[in-house]
Amino acid sequence: MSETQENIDILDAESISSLHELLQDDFLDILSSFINLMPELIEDLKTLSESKDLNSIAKITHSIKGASGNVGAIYLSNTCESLEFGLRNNSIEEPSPYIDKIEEAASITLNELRDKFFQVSS
Amino acid sequence: MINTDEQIGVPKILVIDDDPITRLMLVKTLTKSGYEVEEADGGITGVEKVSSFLPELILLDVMMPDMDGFETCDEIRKIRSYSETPIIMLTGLNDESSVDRAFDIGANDFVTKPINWSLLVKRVKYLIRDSIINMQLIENEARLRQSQRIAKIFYWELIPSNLMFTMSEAFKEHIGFSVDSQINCDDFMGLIHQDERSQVEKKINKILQDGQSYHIDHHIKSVDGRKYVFKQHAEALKGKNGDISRIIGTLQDITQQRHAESIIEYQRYYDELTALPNKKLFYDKLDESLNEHHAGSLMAVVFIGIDRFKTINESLGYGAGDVILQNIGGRIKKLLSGRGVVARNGSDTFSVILNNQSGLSHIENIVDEIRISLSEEYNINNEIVFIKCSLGITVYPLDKSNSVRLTANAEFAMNHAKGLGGDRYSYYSHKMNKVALRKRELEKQIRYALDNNGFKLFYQPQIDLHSKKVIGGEALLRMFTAENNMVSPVDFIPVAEETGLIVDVGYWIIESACKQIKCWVDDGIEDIRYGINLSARQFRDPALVEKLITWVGYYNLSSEVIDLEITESIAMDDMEETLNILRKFKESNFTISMDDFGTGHSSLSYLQQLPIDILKIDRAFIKDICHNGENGEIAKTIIDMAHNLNMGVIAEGAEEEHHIKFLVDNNCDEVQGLYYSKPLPVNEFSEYVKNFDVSGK
Repeated sequence: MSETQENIDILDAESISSLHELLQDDFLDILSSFINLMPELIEDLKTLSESKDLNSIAKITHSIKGASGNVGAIYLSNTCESLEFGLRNNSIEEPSPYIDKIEEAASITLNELRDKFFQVSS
Repeated sequence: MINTDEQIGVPKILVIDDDPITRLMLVKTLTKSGYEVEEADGGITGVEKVSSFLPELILLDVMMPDMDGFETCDEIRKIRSYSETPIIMLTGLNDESSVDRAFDIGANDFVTKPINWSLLVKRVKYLIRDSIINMQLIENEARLRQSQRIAKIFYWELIPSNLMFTMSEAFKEHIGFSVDSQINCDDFMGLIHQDERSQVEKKINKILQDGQSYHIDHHIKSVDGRKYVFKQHAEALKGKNGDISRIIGTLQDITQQRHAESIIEYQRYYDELTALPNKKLFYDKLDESLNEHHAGSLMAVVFIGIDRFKTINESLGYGAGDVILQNIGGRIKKLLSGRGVVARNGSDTFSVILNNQSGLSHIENIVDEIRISLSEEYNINNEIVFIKCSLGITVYPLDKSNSVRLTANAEFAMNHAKGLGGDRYSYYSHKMNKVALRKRELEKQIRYALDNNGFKLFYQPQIDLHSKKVIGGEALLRMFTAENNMVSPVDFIPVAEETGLIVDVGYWIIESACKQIKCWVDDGIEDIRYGINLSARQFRDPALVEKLITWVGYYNLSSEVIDLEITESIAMDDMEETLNILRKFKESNFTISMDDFGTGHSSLSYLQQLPIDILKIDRAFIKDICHNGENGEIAKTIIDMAHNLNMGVIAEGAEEEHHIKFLVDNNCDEVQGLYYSKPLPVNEFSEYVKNFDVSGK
């Protein structure tokens, strides 16, 4: 497993390797669940972005943050955290740019994961 | 894999998280680690699943939409038996306030997100291990507490460095304090009975100084005034530096045990009915008195028996008898008032120790006081009852016996007093003891003789002074021992009378005499009357006449030949009854003699009424007659009186020629005595009759 600067930024290698060690093949199941679930969540987020339902946006962002953080997808998790934090203390009124960033981060992350664990390029 | 407890099996973990990915990851991770895992997607379903799944550990997300982690944790803690189950909260990395709140609400640990998976698995493992240990500890403690409660064992702890004192809650509860009340060392000492307090204080001070463990029994008064007896045991525990780090004390409530012991102790030494010392305590006290006896002083043991107590019980009932015994005990105790010890010795007997008496007269005074006091009236259920008692006294050191022997000797003396008619006292002496031994021996010999033909009848000839013929023979009983030694009737007859054996002996005499007479009649010896002595008991036996008639008929004898001899004193005992019995004898034609006449006090007028055929002058009046006929006045009077009453007269104990001369001169009818013959065995008697030659004498 190559440890490039890019990799470290997007995925937490240490967390991922310990998870892999603990769960072995199950880790791949979790990852595929994560990969399959993510587009749906991003879609939900984009839909809500138009309706300006900030509370629901915060909840879904929290969920993506938690899930990504737990699989070691720190870049996506951190991206979510800034939006969630901003929404919770009411410093963000227009979430769209943040949601775009999240979508992008999700895309990169999922690609990275596919590359690393499923050897399929998007 | 976790080292799971065998009893518990695979530990169960409940994951409560609304995020499906995190939840999935948690479930997979923990399942892989060997746990049984169940999931809930929110707080509400989470609380529900706790009760159905019964997890040993709960992983709980803080941020959940329906019910947040804090509220969920709070709800879980409310579930019975979930107050101690480990709960791990999942919180955000920088959320310190959540961590504090989680602990406040009762969470055991927290894990920050993003989750460090290997750390999580370790935390779960150790928390579950601790939880199992903790649960076992709680169970063990509960078990220990329960057994201590059952055994009424409590504990206290004292830290010497700061004198901090802790008392077990169970103890507080036991003696009526509230569980959370504070009891310091002084409070505890204050509960101990004041007479024992300083002793306990000394022990505690000593253990504080040198660590010497101790045992002590003491009383404790509870908050509501109840008294307890506690067995206290304390031990010092030493720290690493060798100093005493703490003192642990146990307190066991032994109140009931003590109570039971004291009852047993009481029953061992006291009589339940009268509350007086019993025989055992009496012996102990007597031993004490013997040990403390001062030379020059006297100590008396007095044995008191109630005369005819059986009849009181029979006539008034056992309840009344018990009340009288209580009264008697009370009277003796009151009368002695510290001058001596009184105990109830047996059913109707009491015993007394009189210490430090200066002389026999003093002892006698007290004994007589007791006798008089007990003879005063008793009011039993409005019925006035009187009793008499007999008292036996033995005096140490005149009687140098041990306590048991002294008491037995006093009892012996009491029985002697009873034998003399009761309502009196008697001293013990060795002579009396010997008499008793001889009596026991004689009783054995009588029984032996009855079973083994040890009795023989001898016959003493009676001579008609007018016709110079053998006119009768008195059957006299002889007893032979197993060694064929002859025992005098003077010795064994009183014993036979006392023991009641006289009845059997008496019937043996009648039957064997009848059998013998029949032989003689068949042998041609006729016109002879045979005297048979009747004892008082036999005389008053209602079956006697019937039996006599039966035997006389069986042996085909004429009843006149049977001369029933009764003594004057027997006849005089109950004159009315005597008359009735004698009339029955007469109706059946038996001959009746009055034996030992002159020694009693029968009045002439009474004698007149009795259907007596012959008076037998007692040998005492014959013995004193001199050569010249002096001192024969009484004999002469009796002869005349008998003749006036149309009775025949026979003189007993005629041994000398001048006796015969006097009797002939004074018109006595018959004579019996050594002058003619001693009592003879059966074969010699028949020979004597056949060969009797008056000129030969």
